[in-house]
Amino acid sequence: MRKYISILVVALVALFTATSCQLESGTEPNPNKANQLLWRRVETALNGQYEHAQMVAWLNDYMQGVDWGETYKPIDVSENEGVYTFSYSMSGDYYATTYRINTGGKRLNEGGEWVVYVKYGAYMEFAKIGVVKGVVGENTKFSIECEVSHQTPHYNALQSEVEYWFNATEELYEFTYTTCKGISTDAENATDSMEYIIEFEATEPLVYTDKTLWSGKIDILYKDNMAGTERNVTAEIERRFVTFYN
Amino acid sequence: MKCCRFVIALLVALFVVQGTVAQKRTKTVVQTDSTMVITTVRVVPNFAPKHDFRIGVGSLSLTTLFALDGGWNIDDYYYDFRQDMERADTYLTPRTFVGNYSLSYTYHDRRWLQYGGTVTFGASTRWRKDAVTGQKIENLSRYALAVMPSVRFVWFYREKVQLYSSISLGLVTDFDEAYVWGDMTLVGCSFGRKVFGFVELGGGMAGSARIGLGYRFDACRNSKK
Repeated sequence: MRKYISILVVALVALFTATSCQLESGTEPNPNKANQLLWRRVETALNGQYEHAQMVAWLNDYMQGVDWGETYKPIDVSENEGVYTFSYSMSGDYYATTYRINTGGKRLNEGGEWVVYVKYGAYMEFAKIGVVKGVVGENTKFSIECEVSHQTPHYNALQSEVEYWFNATEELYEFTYTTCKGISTDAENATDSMEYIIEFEATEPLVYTDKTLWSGKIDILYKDNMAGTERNVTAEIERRFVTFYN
Repeated sequence: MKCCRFVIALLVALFVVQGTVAQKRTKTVVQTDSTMVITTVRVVPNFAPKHDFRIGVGSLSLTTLFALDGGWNIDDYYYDFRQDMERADTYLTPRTFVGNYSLSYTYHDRRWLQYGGTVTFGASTRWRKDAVTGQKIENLSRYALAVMPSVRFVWFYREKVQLYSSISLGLVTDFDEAYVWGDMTLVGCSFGRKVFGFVELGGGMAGSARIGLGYRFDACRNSKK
């Protein structure tokens, strides 16, 4: 009897082994995944803001006769009664991004308040993305307040104090967000109900070099309004590498 | 690789069949000066059961995969950010197919025609676990159950060996929705008398290669259909 039971067990194990197979591999536990997800969202919002700030800075210098060179130079600048229109195309972009900046006839260092519009495709409409205010007497400082759509379904709103300068040694422009705070959420605009909201604020200046976030420190707070939970993380950027502290 | 194992098993079975079949033909040669009479006697089995039960296990087939993937329901694999955040502290175990298991009853109406029903159960297992504690927090296993009337055509019948094909049509459910689906055995071989083993190649809910055991009963000696 024991012999037959043994044969049966062996046969069942053999059959199970022969017929079972892995359909899909599993995932690895990643304790940093939530931090990475949050950081990706914040970084996207910051980069969107950076693109606009870069265009504002370029126009600011253009009006004062400073040339950034071919690498950074937008194309087809036209001016009509204080409204500047120009295009900027990253390599690989199918459509150039077109900016329309209404300077109101004043430069930023004259205390000008500029209204920035952008359209991302040839058949799209210009949309207002924010307001820029210059610091009187300062050529390279301005505050920028943007609602960044950046072709994503997320709603981002940021306020920054921006300072920029040309690094003659490296032949690079450097941008520093001396202050920066904002939100990122799922709603298409601020009046929609939000399932979650990500709030962030720089605790150390965010420095962009060669269009990349080089250093800085930023606190991120995630609030899940559906589940009623919160999560805090601080992202510290050093030489482009990000470290998270919970 | 696993399919190869079944093919080898099938070939072995066919080899056994061939040997068994060879024993069932008796050739007698009577030779005189002017004539030679050759008589071949084929032994007709006198064991003619009326019913059989089978239990089998099958490998993965496209049909099973389809059913375990949710059938005609296309899963929404897009998760929004909030859902991604909720799942961030978890991980998934591999999705593993654990076999198709079938149970069938067949009534032997004729030697060449048998019909009955099959119940087949297939499953894949997967869990979502907590990244820190490793505890299971969500069962993502999928199950598929098929109930199908079936017809079997025996095209080679011996007392101990039968070769056959069969077709089934019935309902498949993943416990979420149900739909009509079929199953087919292109070639099957059973070997044994009352207690028998079988191997099959086909497609459908029972798997693309199947193997199992069965039991024939209600034997009527000397009955001839």
